[in-house]
Amino acid sequence: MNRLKNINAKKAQLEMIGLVIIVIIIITALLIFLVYKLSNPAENLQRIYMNNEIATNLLLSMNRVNVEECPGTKLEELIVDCAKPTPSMHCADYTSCEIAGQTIYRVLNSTLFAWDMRFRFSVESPYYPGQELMFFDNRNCSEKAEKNTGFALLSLYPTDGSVEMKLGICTK
Amino acid sequence: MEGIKMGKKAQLQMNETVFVVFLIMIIIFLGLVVLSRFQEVSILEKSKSLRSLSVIESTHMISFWPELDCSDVKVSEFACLDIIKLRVLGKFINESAQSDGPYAFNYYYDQLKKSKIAVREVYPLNTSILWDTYWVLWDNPGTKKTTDSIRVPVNLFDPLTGRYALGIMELQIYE
Repeated sequence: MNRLKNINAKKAQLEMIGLVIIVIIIITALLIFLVYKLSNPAENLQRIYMNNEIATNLLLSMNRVNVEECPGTKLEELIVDCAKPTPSMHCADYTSCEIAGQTIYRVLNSTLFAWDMRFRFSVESPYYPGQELMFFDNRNCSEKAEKNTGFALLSLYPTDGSVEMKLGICTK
Repeated sequence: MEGIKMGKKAQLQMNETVFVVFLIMIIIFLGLVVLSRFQEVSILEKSKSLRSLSVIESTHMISFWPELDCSDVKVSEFACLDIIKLRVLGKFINESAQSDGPYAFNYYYDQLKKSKIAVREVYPLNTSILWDTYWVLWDNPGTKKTTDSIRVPVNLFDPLTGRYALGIMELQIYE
């Protein structure tokens, strides 16, 4: 009699354990789903597009701009002159490198700095490999950080090579 | 005796079954609540994504409008707006909106709907001999405050002086 009672009690306990295990499995599955959903936020298309457009358009538009201190001269001409081993252009007692740097800073100050965006801007010349001719950044947007980057290449014709301009908007 | 025992056993079994069914119903109910919450968030995100696409589409389209683009011997320039065309088109649309027969306003409403499009010169200031540095191309605000906006750098070409300036085209979409 007691033996039968024990057997029945053990059976009931086993069934209860089975039920508890099922509940735990369901809750675990829900938690895993929750964690996955929350750790993969939907990408912000607008932000990606805007960063790409800003990076590319700003470089291309900036290069075509007529420099105020140098009437009749575009910024790209000053940058190309600055990239050469012996810059020859001067405007109002300033060298092409100084004017180009000032102009780029004014543009960035009115745009990316004013919008408080994390960015990294650089200009490299084939005559100075491994060095940056000009460099601006905001809020520690490092070279290795994830970015939306725009490029512009300015030809050094008739000599070989191109000046490389890069503008990266940090995404995080 | 045996009958009483079987009866008690049966009651226990029924209680167990009722308890299990009740527990399963609670789990299903909780699952439905969580699922509906996720559906709501998912629908809101989808709606925001569609609105973002609409903003992107509008911005891209405006950049290539023949009514605004700079052209030299029929060659269009990338991301370049003619400031004379900008001034004229903005004035034309604005006057149309206030007139009895808003043909131009209705024509552009199909494409631009409830939004505001403005262009602002950032470098150098006061390039144009007309001394304009801010142009409103389209201003049709909705009832709700803006939620989506985009800024795109563009060149501003003055055909009177042949000079290029840098400007920012700001597009705001209203709900």
